[in-house]
Amino acid sequence: MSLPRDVDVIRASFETPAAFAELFDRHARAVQGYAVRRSGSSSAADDIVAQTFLTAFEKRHTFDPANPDARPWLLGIATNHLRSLRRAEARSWGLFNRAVAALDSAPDDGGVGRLLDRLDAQSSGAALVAVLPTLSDGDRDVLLLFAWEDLSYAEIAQALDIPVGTVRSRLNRARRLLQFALRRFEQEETG
Amino acid sequence: MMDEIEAFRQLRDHATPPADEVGLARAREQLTRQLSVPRPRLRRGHLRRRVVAVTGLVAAASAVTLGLVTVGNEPPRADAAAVTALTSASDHVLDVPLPVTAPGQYLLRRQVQVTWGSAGDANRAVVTGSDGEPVVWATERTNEVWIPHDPTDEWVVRERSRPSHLVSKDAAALAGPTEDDLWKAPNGIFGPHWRYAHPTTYERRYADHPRDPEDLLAFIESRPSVAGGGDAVAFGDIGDILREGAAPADLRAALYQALALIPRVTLVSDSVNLAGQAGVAIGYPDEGQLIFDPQSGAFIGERDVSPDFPAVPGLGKDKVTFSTVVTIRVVDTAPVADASTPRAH
Repeated sequence: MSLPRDVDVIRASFETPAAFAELFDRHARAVQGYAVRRSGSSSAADDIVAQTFLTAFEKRHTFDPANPDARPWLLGIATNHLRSLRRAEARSWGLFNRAVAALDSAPDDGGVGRLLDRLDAQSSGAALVAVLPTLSDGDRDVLLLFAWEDLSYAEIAQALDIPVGTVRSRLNRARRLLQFALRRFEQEETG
Repeated sequence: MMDEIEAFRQLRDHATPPADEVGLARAREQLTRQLSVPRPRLRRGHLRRRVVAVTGLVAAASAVTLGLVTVGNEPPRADAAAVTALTSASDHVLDVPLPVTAPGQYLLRRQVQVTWGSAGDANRAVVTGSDGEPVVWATERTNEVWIPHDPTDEWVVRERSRPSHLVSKDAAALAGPTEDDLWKAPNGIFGPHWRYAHPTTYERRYADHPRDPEDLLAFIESRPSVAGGGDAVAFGDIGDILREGAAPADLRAALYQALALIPRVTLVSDSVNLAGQAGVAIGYPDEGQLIFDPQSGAFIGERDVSPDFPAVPGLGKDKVTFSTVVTIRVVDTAPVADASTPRAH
């Protein structure tokens, strides 16, 4: 017998809330991976995971049953919670800017800063990561969901509640900035 | 060009520390505690439903608004005003061959791109900076390529980037630094994955693109595409080809006609001024707008509007948050590396 689909689990949770824990067991690792990649902090990521599933449970009536897989929906909720981390950062913008100057690249959140620490500062990876903070929030969300979370255009549209065309144009913009960074790096390597 | 997405994807492992099982267990515990709180039961069937009838009505209403109502057996296509502008551009662009250089001259291709960005919080409200102003900024990037008449000669690329507008001073970190770089390389080969095609190869490159508009549209739509692609992707792809500025006149004419065949393409404005150049804007929903001069067929650039973007000083009422202006012309000289500026490589 095949496993019940996510949508069936969510349906069951209307009668039996405890059934919702099954959704956690299926997708918590994916949400945690996404949150830790973006926040750069395991403890912050754990909070995001907890908040994401609590929100998902409260808002489970908004899940579109046409989508059998709940992962894009959950990553969309996580994306909104990740924004709250930026609010905390915004309270210390001065400190943030000094950190930026020290890195000579602008991290948008702990994740980018940590990632730059882990990468060789002279690598093409560092050049690409440095682009992240220069993207608008919406463009960055689309890029990260596409490149790191392997969501399709349609799934990103579902996650962020935006039209597929918007996904495409946001990704296009992000790609062009990445190309810009890559060109600079390649030339500096070989030039 | 190296696939920048693939390069970016390779960073994922660096960004992913080992899974924190203790943290996960804690989060699960939090959830299960919440799940056991007694609460009024929701009735079954509370999931969002797709109401086909209503969707159908909305679609019909949109079709009327966009002037897409099919008459007789006529297939749906762009709205009448867009068709007029595109037909005019197609007619005139046939008389405009690609610029040709003489020995010693360069073809200069310049793209100036302006991107507006904002820092948002969990509710998608704009973050306020320490000076009380919204953290909103614009970055201008200029990319110029001087293509020598003889491809084996030295090519020159100059890229400049600067924060062109900071609403809050705290946006400076996000807008990026001011940069000005100059690179030179023979044969248009600047790096293992960074190389340019010479104009002498343009004809060959586009040889397989049909010149019949319907066939061309079908050809473009048949390319490996993405979920939900179709017309939206075709609109974007045509924009990509026009922006590149390398398509021969007959192909540019066919591209304009192909755009006229795409349903939901509309004339957004008949008088757009993009960096001092006047033109018309045609758009496809959520795909941005292409700007061209219908009197000459010249492609001017593209832009995107974001109605939800905050109203900030320096950003027009129409909220154009992304634009690229493309110019291509023949010049006699290319910049020479200078000890002071720009930074030469």
